[in-house]
Formats: sequence, structure tokens, C-alpha cells
Amino acid sequence: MSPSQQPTEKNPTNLKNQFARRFVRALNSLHNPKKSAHDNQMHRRSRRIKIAAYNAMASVVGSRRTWSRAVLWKIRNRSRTQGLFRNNRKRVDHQIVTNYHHRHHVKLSIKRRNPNPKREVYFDPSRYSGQEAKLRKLVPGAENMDSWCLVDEATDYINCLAAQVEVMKTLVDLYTAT
Amino acid sequence: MAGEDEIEGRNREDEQMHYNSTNLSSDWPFNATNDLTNTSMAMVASSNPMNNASCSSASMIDSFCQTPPTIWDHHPTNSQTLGAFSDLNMQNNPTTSSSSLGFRKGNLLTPSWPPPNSAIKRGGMFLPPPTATPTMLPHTLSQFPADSGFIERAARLSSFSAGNFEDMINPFGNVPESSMSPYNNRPVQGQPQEGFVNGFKSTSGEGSKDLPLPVDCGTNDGSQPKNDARQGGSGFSGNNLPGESEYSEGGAGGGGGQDETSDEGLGSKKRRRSDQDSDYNQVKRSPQTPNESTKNNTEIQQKGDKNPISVANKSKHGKQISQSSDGQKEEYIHVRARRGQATNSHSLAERVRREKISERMKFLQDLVPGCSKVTGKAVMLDEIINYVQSLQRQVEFLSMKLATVNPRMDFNIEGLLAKDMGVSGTLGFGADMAMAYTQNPSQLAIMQGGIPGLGSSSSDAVRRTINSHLMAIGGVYKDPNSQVPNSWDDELHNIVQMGLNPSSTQNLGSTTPSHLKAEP
Repeated sequence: MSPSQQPTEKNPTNLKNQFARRFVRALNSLHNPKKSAHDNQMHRRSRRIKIAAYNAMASVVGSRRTWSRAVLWKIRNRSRTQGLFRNNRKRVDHQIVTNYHHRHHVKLSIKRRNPNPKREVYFDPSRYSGQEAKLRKLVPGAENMDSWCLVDEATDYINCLAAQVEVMKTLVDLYTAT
Repeated sequence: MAGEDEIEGRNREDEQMHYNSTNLSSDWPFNATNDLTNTSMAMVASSNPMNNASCSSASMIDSFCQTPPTIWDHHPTNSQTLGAFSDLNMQNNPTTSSSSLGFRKGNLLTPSWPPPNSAIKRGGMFLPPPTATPTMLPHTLSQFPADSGFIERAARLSSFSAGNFEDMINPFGNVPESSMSPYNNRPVQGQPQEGFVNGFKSTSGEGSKDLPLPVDCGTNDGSQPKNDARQGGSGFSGNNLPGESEYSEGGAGGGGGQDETSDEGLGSKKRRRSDQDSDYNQVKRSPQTPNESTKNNTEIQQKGDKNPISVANKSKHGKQISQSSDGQKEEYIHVRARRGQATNSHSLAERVRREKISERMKFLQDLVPGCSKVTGKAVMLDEIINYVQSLQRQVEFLSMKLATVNPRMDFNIEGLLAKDMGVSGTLGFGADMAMAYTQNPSQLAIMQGGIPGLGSSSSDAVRRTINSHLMAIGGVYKDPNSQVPNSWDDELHNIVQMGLNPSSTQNLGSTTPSHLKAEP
């Protein structure tokens, strides 16, 4: 498993550039006046931006990495379920509650599926299992990894996350400066 | 060394296969011819004092193969001990056996000899006992009663042609005498010739001791020695198979080949193949071996001695050989396991896994600031977890900040986007940005609406802001230079193609040359 996964980017600058490009694009779409008029709440807005940032990073990394796959899968799923909920709310407004439970159930089952079924479930009882479990929770898609893959993924994830944070910082500076 | 071993192993296998195949055909015709060789050998053996014979054989063998001389030094002692046991006539036996073994060894070791020859010689070696032994061992026959256990063994040996490992060992395990140890050790593949020699020597030596073998051979029927011979051959072929598989599987090369001899008593390495070893152990332990042989084996195991010689050897020779083989051992051992480390497959795999993890951990350590000083995996993992958490929190915080910042800058956003475009152009935000804008016509319209508003402000201010952004981003993008030239051209081209307002293009046009100057 491991040798097939290349490190995402040899060049961190390239990674940052790609991420910034995607993220700014996503921000642009978020700041579409129609949408911005729609969601005024800060909380939702920041969540959307956060998700956009993660999405941008994960899509830059692509499907090479387990964590990016997991993030993309989660975001896609989340948007689906969100759309579902929104639809449901509308339906409730329209007094149409048919099929709701069925669809909800289906969505949940999809959500629970292992995003990376090829990877076999292997928990090794090591001394650091407590901390490893923590790390597993932090690194997306690492729930079912063995510890080598976990460390590998964590390395890559941290790399990308640091780049993401840096770019976001510069963007914030850029926006707040003017 | 590695290649030699492998080749030897192959050749041996071939020879044995050939031998097995040609057993029936070649053996019997050579009964007659064997007399000559055997008698001549017997003559040599009888005429020469025992030590001389063994020495000559040793020299011969040394010329044939580069085996440690200790192996052959060991023979005289062995024969002497045997001699102490038995009569002078008995002494002839070991010597002849050693000499014959020497010949055998030559056969085994020199692959240049055509297989039929080797088979013949082997047959000659093995078959002689029926005919030659009566001449050699008449006294001993009378002294030693025929061993019923040996008959059983011989009967079972016929089943050895199947090459089954456990089958091989079982009959040997049943042998009540010290012959156990040679047979147990014999499967060793690393230096099979020695194992072979030892096995045969042990048989003949025991022949001198117990005399079951010559007796049966000489008196009862000639088929039994042939069985014995076949047993030897088949034993080797059967043993060769695991050895070969080891070669291919272990990838340790010839060094590994020596280790991975199928004998359990030999290498500590050996234990790696836990399955075979466990079987082997069971097989070995199940027959209640005499104390002597077991003690030998255990001694050998403890020393990690690989050489099968330990068969008849006492601890002294075992030590010598282990020392001599230490140099070879060191070459490959560090690949798998160091001394004192567990060597079964699970622990080896576990060790490899841990090494891989720790190697990865080092990368991670370099990545996480402040983690390089930390020693200990637990603390390191803590640091890493904290770092990841802080990064994630930072992302959250920054997104919140972006969310708070943006609404306030609704007016400026599009201008910022334009500026971003400029900035991104310098930083390698390539054609994709432009594509994004073109794909979003409404936004483009907005931008076109927004930029004139910016255009109302002085171009100096815009330039200043852009320059500050450039500075800010330049700190982040450590080397934008690599991507600047090509992407910048593309960006300019795209901007022009996008058909922005004249004012905005003016602005951009006025600002961009300064960037171009500033950037490189």
C-alpha cells in the first residue's frame, strides 16, 4: 500500500499555489452576492469557508492520499446530506414528508461506509494505542489504518495542513490590509 | 559464495534427482564394478593407518571443495573414539567410511562431473557395503548383533524416496542410537556435503558401533544398503526442496542459503521459518532421542552453530566451526536480525515494521516544529497530535476571520480579486484563474462593475496595496521565481483576453510592469 502512495508534492510552493488558486476560486463563488445575501450568519459562513479550504486542499492533493480521499468523500457526503436536509425542510414546509425516512436511512448508510475499503482493518495493540487513536481521529480517513500508514498519512496531512494554514493566513492578511 | 552455494544446491538437487531416477538402473549394474573400487578403498584403508587415510581423504576433499579443514580434522578423532569403542577392525571402518565420504564429497561438490558418474560413484559408495563390508567387517559382524531397530529404519527408508521431510526425520528419530544426531543434522542445506558426509559417517560409524548396517547389508540382502543409499539421496533431494524455497523466498543470497539450511539444530536464523521449524521440532522431539544426541543438538542450537558436523562432534569442534563460520554469518545476519534478537518470522516482520514506522516518524519529527528535540515516541506523538490540532484550529480560526473580513469588504472584494489576480499572476496563479473567471460570466460582470470603482482611486494607492500584498505573499511563497516568467505572460495574456474595462486594464497595465521589474 505505502509505496504506491507518492508524497503529494515535492515542491511545497507548488502545493501552496495550487491550493491558493482553488481556495480563492472557492471564496469567489462563496462571495457571490446572491449567496452572501442568503447566509448572513457568521457561523455558517465560516464553516463554509473552512469546508472550502479543506476541499481545496484535498482536491489539490487529489486521490493519491487516503486523507484527501476521506476529506473529499466527507465533504461530498456532507453537501449531499445538507442538500437533503434542506430539501427535507422545504418538504416539511410543503407538508410533504413522504419518503423522508427512507432517504435519510440510505444516506446515513452511505455515510458510514468505509471510504477506503481496500485498506484492511488492522489495529495493532501497541503501547501508544491511546495516542495513536487520538491521531487516528485527527487525521481524516485514518480510522482503519495500520500504524505505519497512519504515520505516513499524518506526515502528509500535516504537510498539507501547514501549507493551507500559511496560505489562509496570507489571504487574511491580504483581505484585512485594505 | 552465494552463487556457489546456490549452484551447488542446484547441482546437488540435480544429481540427487538423477540419482533417484537412475537408482534402479545404475545401482545394480554397479554392484559388480563397485567391488573393485571398494576393495581398493578397503585396501587403502586397511593398509594405511587410520589417520593417514583420513588425512589423505581430507586433502583430497580440500582440493575438491573449500571446506574448513576442521571438518576433516574431526574425522580422525571420531574414528578414534569409535576405535576406542571397537576393535582394530572397527578402526578400518571409520577410515574407509571417511575416505568413501571424501569421495562422495568430491562427487557432490564438483558439479563438473557428469551426473551419471556421480550417481554411479554414489551408488558405488553406497552399494559397496553389501559386497565390501563382509570382507572388511567380518569380526565386527560377529561382535555386534543385528539391530532390529535398524531394520525398521531401513524398511522405512524406502519411503524416503518421496522426499518427505518429516518422514525422513521420523525414522531417524526412531533410531535409538546416537545416530539420531547425524540424521537430525543432516538436513542442513548450507553445507550439505558435510551433512551428507556426517550422515554417512555416522551410519558407518554406527556400523562400527552397533553394526546394524553392515550386518544387514552384508548378510541379509543387498537391497537394504541400497535403500540406505537411496535414503541419503532422497534425503537430500527432499531437503533440497525447502532449501531451495528458502533461497527464493529469503532473498538472502548464498549467505542466507547457508543459514536457511533446513536443519533446525543449526542456525539461529533457521528458526525464522517457524512453521517448518515447529514441525521439525515436533518431529524431532516426539521420538524420544537418547540423551547424548539431544544434548549435542541443544548444544549446537545454543551456539548457533550451523555446521552439521556437530553430529558426531563434541562441543569443541562445534565451537571451532561456529567460529570459522562467524565471518560468513556476520555478512548476512545484519540484514535480518542481530545477535540475540528473535528470529522467527513474526518477530522479524514486526521488527521491520517498527523500523519502517520509526523511519517515518523521523520525517514527521522534522515536520513538526519543536518535535526534533523530543525523545520518546509517546511524547513525540503528543507533540504531533498537538500540532495537528493547532493547525486544524488555526484553519477554523482563519476561516472565521475570512468570514468576518469578507462581508465588510464586499465592495472591495472584486477589486481584491483583480489584485489577487495580479498577485497570483506573479506567483504562478496560472491560466486556471482566468478560466475560472471566464467560466463565471456573472462574476466577470461584477468584477467589471467593481473595478471601475477601484479605478477611481489613485493608481498609486492600488500599486501600493498590491506591492504590500506582494510583499506579504512573497514571504509565504519562498521561491516564486521559478514559476514567474511563464505564468506571468500567460496571465497577462489572459487578462487582456478577458476584455476587462479599459480603466482596469490601464490600472493593471500600470501596475504590472512595476511587478515585473520588482519580481525577478
